Amino acid sequence: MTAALDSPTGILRDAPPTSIGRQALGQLVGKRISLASLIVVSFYVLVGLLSFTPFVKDRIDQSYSLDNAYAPPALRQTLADGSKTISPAVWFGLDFEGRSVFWRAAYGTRMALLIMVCTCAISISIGAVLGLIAGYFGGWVDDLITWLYSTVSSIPWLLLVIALAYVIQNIQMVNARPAPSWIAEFFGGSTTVILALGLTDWVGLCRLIRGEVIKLRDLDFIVACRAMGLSEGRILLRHILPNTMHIILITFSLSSVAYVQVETVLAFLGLGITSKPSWGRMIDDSKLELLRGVWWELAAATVAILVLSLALNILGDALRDALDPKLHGVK
Amino acid sequence: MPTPLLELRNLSIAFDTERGQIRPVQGVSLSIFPGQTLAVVGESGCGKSVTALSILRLIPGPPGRVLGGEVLFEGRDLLALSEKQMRAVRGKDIAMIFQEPMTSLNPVFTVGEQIVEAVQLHQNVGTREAYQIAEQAMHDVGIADPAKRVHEYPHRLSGGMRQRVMIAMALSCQPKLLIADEPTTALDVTIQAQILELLRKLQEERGMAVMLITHDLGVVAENADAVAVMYASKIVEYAAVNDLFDSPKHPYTEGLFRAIPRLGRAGGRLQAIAGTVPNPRRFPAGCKFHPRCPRMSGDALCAQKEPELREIAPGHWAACHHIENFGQKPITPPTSDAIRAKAEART
Amino acid sequence: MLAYIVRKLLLSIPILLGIVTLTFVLFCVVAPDPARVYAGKFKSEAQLQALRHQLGTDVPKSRQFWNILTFHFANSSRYQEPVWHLFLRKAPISLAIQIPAFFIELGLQLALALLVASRRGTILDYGITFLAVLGMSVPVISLYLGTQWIFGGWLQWFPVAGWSPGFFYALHFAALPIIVSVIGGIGGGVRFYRTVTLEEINSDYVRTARAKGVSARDTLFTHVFGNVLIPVLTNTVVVLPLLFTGSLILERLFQIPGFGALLFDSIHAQDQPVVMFIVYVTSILYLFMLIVTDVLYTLVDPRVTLK
Repeated sequence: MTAALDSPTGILRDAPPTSIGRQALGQLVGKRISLASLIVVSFYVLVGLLSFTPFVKDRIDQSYSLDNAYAPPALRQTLADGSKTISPAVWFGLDFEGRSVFWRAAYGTRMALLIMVCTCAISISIGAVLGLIAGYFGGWVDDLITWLYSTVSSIPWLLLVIALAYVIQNIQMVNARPAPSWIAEFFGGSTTVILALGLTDWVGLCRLIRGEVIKLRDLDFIVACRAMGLSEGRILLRHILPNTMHIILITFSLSSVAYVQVETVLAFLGLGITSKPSWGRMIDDSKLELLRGVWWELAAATVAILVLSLALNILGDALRDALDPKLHGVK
Repeated sequence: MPTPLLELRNLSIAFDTERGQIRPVQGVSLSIFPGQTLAVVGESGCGKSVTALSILRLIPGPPGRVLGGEVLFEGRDLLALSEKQMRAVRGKDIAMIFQEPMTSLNPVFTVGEQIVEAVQLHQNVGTREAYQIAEQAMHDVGIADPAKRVHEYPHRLSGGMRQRVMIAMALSCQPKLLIADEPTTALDVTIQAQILELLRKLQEERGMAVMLITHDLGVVAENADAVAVMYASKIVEYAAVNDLFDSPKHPYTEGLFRAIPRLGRAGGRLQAIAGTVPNPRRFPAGCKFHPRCPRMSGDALCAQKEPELREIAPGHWAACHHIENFGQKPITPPTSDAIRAKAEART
Repeated sequence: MLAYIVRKLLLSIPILLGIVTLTFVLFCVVAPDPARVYAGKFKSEAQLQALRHQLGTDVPKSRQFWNILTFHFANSSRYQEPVWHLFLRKAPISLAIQIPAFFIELGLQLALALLVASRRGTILDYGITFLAVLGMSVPVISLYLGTQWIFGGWLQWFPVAGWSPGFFYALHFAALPIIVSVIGGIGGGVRFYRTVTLEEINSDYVRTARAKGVSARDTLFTHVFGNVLIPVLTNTVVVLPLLFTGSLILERLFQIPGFGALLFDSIHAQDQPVVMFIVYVTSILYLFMLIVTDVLYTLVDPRVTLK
């Protein structure tokens, strides 16, 4: 027997009502470290977008050295007539063909962003759709989809990605028809990586969304929707999907880190991006360079990946703290 | 005048959180005498659990800390003890049982192992003898077939059974004081009665003092000798149980009684206390109850100055500025006459 | 118990078939003719046909499916011997590095997680957690290359790469790879086990134990640790098959002739039988390990009963 009944207006008036998105953003901006991560990621996005323009694109294959040789990082570039000017092209040094590590690293940002966005688009689409359908409709559809993702997840992910990239690259190799030039230019040979990653990484998301949908579909408000006469499709799209957005957002931010890392592994195997520079390729190239003491290409690519991964990890954690009610209290 | 077994003097606890400091316990003073049952009553969030945990110094270091006051047990200030000395007190002189029997036992150890752990911490006995003590303790709390049950895992027992195990564990080293933090709230009503009956019986047999924390006034009426009513981190009324039920002095206590349905008296609306329990981050200035107080209407004194706990009648304290001005109407206690008679006969 | 195991095995048959199907679809249907890929564009049709016969791709698709199901794999194109023989030769070398690395890594992860969880909010906590996240964010290849260069090339504390049989020589060559592997892999585990430990530390039974008079240290190492072991078990048993495949990057960079290096070379050389074998067998082992984990779970967690 509680002794005092709450009055009708007994809601603790602590803060004005906010949507989940606004709440999350508020939490992110509130803490210094997640704010810093947000800024860092935005910076990368800016650099990446800039790299789509000729400003960066034209400088990646240019030789900045007089004799096409490598050079350590310096402040000034030596021009043909012997004079020196401050030029960002040499700030990270020159690789073994005299190309600017600085501009190539900047271009790598574009590739990384492209991979992250496209892969997420594919994997989230597959994972979310399958998860929603499996969770909501149950029955044989659920059994089929469960069987599908159980099978795919039985293969260790990295192994599967490598195998798929291997097959896709072979297909491209054997296939005589080249793609239209604008596609080749836009993707820069990253289709292998994107497809290999996107077609394999949907399993985790599918499981999580399926679990969440199963919990949601029996809740009273969904039953009320049906009682009102809403169609199943409409319920799925307008009522269930928005309640899974937090899972999608968290998965997106945490998975992106893995994509960048795996790209380096694929590059190492020769299955990565072929025609344009990427961080993975730079690291792979630096294998030989290290023998001659050329460390700056490795350093530039590593630092670029490191900082981005760190920022995304922190951001992902902060998002999870902000959006996942179960984990409140445990940092 | 007998000396109290446990005496809290002006205890204040603070929690330093990211968004500022909150004080769930402020200036709390109370005493428990040997063999006595003190009930601490209040709604969720009034600070009663924090008070209990701080007696055993179980409030997590950061962010919680003691702002001031003393916790005297048999004359010794527990707050001044080292951690090692404190561990000798926990489970042996003072024991505590909690609200949720489901999660309060470790799922990967048998109940026997957990009771034996308590026994071996405080008594110098071998394993076999420890198990015998454990089985005896389980027998004392009414668990049938203890020799078999002692090897069960907690999830195989029902809620009432688990609470009995908790009590057995707490009592295995013969403590002088048992702190029971809402021991029956999570149980079915019939089991509640059994557990409370069990506690009463054990208390009588061992002359143990009990600090019973609850929000249920019916439980208070049937089990307590003295009552402390807490509201928003402070004690607002403190009296012997009969005095409290005969003439509650503080407006909050009066409000509690008026909100309880009573059998055998038809008609009349339940009167809720207007408003809600304040957020610990934003306690009202002055008397913490004044925004909801039906007696005070725009009184400047109540809004500015916190009332002290004063002895209004012999052995009956209340914290309110205006008690003397209120007309005193006795309120019918919320239990049937038979139970009231029994409570009277006990004291 | 036996009935439980049998039931689990039976239930996993559809997934087993799924793995066979996936392998089949990936390597026999979707992938282009491996003979062409291996031999390049400039071989005659007769040579290609001979290759196809060797690879087992000149039989109808249904027969190929059956071959996979019955573990009939073609010989490696590069080595001209059954992949299984290659496996037996090279797996022990991989294991010599992976097994010590596994145990050291696990031990350190648990120790650090317990340490950090019990000192939550302190500088130690933030520091180690930050280092863990840092470790997770560094690209693995850079880590390996960097350590090789610094510790092998520059400081010359360890050999840069290489391998030789014989116990003490092997130790000499294995030291750096093991160290580097542990550094690279430790981050994720520390974070995960830290979270798990924190959840357990906040449980009610910890409060009960403290109220009984158990010291903070004993609570951590007995009560909390006992509960933490359960997710540890699920996590570790499942990665055991991967120990055999070794880390391809690690082995290739450090010139260790293990099974991982074999996979690496086979990809470069388009040696499809090897790739197919590894993917298939690893998946089956992985699936098997999942079942083993389930069974172990029922033994370790008293709350879980055979159903």
